[in-house]
Amino acid sequence: MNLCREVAERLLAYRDGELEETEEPFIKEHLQYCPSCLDLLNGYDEVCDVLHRLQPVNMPSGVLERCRERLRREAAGEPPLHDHGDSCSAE
Amino acid sequence: MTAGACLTSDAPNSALLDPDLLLDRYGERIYRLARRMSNSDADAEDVMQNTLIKILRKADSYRGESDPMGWIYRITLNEARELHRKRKRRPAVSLDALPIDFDETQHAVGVSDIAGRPDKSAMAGEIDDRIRDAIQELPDGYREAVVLYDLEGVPYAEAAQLMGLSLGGFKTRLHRARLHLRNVLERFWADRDAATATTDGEAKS
Ligand SMILES: [Zn+2]
Repeated sequence: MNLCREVAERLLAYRDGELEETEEPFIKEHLQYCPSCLDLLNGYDEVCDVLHRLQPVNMPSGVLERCRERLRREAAGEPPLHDHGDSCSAE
Repeated sequence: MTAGACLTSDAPNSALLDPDLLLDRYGERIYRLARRMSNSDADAEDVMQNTLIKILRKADSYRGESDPMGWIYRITLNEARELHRKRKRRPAVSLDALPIDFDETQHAVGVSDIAGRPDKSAMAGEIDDRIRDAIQELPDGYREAVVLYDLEGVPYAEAAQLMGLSLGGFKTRLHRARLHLRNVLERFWADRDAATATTDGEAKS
């Protein structure tokens, strides 16, 4: 179990290719005979697959124009317009 | 993963003082990060506007690296935190509820049977929604770790620096956040299996 703990702590970095190279063989070897750790790795893979699949962010039209106007008002010392809610307040 | 490209640019700092240059050079990236950190388009736009105003106000005194993207990202993250606070949206997940570094009971059970999911792709939309919600429910530092690394491709070291964390501190947050998301997925499948079993039972009776 202690071995598994050591592997589990490095599994994320291993998966992300951010692990020290010298530590990789130890993880690889362990994964060959430990179904539990392999299962943990598969779980991370599933999460990461979902995360990487999430749709890219597209900026809706109008955002840049409204930001430009807000910046213009700020530069001119005018108060901001309140488009949506109270969250635009310029403290 | 081609990480890090989003943090390198040869833009001079003067771009920070010119609203048009500021928007042209950094607008898209600010919005993207803001949107990942927010629940809605409207919130993302608020974060973006507030970030831009902060940049404009502080640009005069900016004495950082020639590439200000890290500085801009830090302001964006702060504004996103600020909006979460203003919305009084408490994280639905408490720090204590997040999995500890290594959960031996769960590890020993080894419950997941991912390869055996028959209609994984058919469920993709629902899964994505569930994960997106779960990311927003994470406490700030955990959400930031996942968004920066997994969604925006910022490498460990840079992400840690942006968040003002040690490399170890960053890894812990990413690790726990992913463990939590993995549990969310497990629960998703468990709920679904239960629902299917109920439907089957009703059909038979
Ligand atoms: Zn093991």
